[in-house]
Amino acid sequence: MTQAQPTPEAIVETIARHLHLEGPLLPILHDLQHEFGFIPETAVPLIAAELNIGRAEVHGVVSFYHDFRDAPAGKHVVKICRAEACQSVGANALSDHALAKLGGDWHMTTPNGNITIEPVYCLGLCACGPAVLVDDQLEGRVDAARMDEILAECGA
Amino acid sequence: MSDLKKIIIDGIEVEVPGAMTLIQACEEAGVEVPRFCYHERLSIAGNCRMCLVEVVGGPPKPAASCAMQVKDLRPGPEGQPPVVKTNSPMVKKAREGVMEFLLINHPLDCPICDQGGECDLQDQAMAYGVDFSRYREPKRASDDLNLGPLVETHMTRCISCTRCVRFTTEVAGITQMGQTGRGEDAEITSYLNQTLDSNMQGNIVDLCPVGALVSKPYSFTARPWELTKTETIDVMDALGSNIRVDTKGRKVMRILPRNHDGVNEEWISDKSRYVWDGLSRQRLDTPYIRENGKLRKAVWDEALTAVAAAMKGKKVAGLIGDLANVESAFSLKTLIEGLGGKVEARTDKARLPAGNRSAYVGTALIEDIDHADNIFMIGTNPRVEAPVLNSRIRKAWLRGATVGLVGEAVDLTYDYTHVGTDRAALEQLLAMDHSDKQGTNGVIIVGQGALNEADGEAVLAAAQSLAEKGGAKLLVLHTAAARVGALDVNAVTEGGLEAALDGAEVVYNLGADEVEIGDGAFVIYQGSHGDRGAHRADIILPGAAYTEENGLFVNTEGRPQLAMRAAFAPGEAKENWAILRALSAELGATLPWDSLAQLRQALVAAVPHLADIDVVAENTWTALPVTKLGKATFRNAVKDFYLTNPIARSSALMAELSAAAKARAESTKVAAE
Repeated sequence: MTQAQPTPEAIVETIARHLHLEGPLLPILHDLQHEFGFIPETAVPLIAAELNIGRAEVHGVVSFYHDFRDAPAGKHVVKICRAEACQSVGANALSDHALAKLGGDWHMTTPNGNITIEPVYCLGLCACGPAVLVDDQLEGRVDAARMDEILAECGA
Repeated sequence: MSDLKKIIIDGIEVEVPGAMTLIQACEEAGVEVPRFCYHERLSIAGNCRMCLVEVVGGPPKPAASCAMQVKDLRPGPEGQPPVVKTNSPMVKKAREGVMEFLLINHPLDCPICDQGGECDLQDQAMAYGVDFSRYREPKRASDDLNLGPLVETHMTRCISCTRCVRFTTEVAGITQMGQTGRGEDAEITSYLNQTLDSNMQGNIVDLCPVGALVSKPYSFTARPWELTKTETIDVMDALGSNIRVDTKGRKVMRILPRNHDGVNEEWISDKSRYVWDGLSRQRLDTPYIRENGKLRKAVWDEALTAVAAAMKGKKVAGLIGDLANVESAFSLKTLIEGLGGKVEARTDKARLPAGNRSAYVGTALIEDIDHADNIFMIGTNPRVEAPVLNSRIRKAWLRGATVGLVGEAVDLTYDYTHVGTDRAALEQLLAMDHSDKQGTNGVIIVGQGALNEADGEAVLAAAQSLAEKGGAKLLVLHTAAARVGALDVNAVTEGGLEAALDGAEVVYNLGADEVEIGDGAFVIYQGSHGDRGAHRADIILPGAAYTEENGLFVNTEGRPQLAMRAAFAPGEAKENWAILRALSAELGATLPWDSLAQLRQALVAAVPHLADIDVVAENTWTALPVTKLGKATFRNAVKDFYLTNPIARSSALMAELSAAAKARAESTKVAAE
């Protein structure tokens, strides 16, 4: 799924909606992500200019939060927990399986634009590992077969 | 230009006027030359020796590039352009030597020095110095000067560049500072230990390349790297000086000038620079409603409902104060006139003709003063009405321009022909022949003091006719930052303040604190400070001050400039246009904009020249009909320089300065008797 880059005008309009706030950077970034599905790289200098801060500062904030994307995500986002508890019950094997199935690496989006796969560090579902987050839906005790089902449901 | 000379600097060939100094030519070539004493707006001293360069083929010693002109260099044997080097071993050694000498007596107290982080000596010692000193003897000791409440001195740090002495004598026009002694005994002193008597003295803090002169109110409050810098516009006078506001969180820590050749060069007045403590005192941070004669705190919804209830169906008048930006003036005008009321911006009763921009702004640029041959002032004291403009007139006077004045005889820091103090003198002058001045550059400056009496329009017409006769340009010197912008959006009522207030049941006061509103009327005050206007108010709506909202200001020459928000308003205070927008919805007469951008679009649609930021629109000359002048003497508009607006009146420092200025005037009067 290739999405056209948003125009500077559209970005500035989004930024302007939050300029009355004190500490407007995060609301702006959330709104951009909500509006365009990702934070376009062209937005960084525009935000810096509007907020009278450095580009480095904007870049620092954008790159600090993993959920701010630099490219649009697929229709579904599958996050596999890779924290210790899940690792000890086979999360690594599960992620290897999922990545092999999709034929790529972390953060990839399938060519049909249906799935983006991402690592996540602890979903707080350690008792039911390996845990997976499909969009907003938590799944516990996922094995290879369940993973195949999930990916199929998502349209891999 | 015919006297362009070629010169090769570090292998880069540039062509520059022969009168340029080598340091300027180096700048043209993009070669950086370190300097301490050289400053482009001051005379050349040539005493710091930091700008040494090698002139190839010249005398076998380094030359001070600030004090040598391009035309003084000899060409090569076959007429090749002269060659200057700034990167040769000789120059490197010379710079290191100079730096070692400068640091001999300089205390290494950077950790406790306020200049740290923005110090020329620090930067240049890092870039051009060496990391040792052969000097083992004790450093020179010196006593600190007391220069008054604004400039703090640490004379041990002084490197004797004399920038402060040159600024005070050349630009500010005062004589308190000088240098005495020679060699190691050379020191900057003040004459008879006097404090500085100038309202431009803060500029020497910026000029000082080290931490010898630092700002007293700012001392030990912040480091430059922890401040957020916002480039904005000053509103303390109508000049629209370009400033930079440094903030830490919500607090303004200091105000510095920015360079703008057309407006303030790179100076600002002390009021513009040191007013910031007024921004955090006496602030209105929540709405108030008067009940049983006492103001009580309220919340926004309640206050807006009360305002709407008070305004509905009544005869409403709107007053626009001196610090309101164009957006809020335009909003108020649209709102009040939509309700069938009247608005008025000329709260000092100045008889400025609405619609005739050549009469209420004039035709001259501030920059025109630079090349004026004759300058004539009517009923104004620019030294207090716009100190930075006064220093520009002084610069023209130093260059040889003649200056004349009709009005109160005041000390302007330069000589002028005092024609008289009253209207009769102006009339006589008008009757004289001015045809000899045709073809020269003339500027006529009319102050608000000349215009705010009953015959104001006649005085303005006389000034116009004087300008016509002498081929001069007209500059109306305003005292309020908001005035030209408000006149541009035509936020005025035929007949002025009296006509606007006549029979008004409700007065909506947008920050006009200098107006007496009679008993009977219901007053709604929208502003930033609990000043005179708030005392009279029945409902108070807290608004943002000039550093707290984006807005457009049009300066006295008609130049629209954008002020930017540096910090957020305290407490519940809101941006002024947003308050008016919210109120309009409450009144059921919603203003047709939801954002500042939409408001600006509507504004530009109504007044197209406001779209050209930083461009002075040309005004077509429309002469007012010449009528009979009154009989009175001229009185100047500004009585107390330090206390002209609510922000300044809230500042403890401005009160101190005002008291000191009064005491000084008193003591000179006694001394004279």
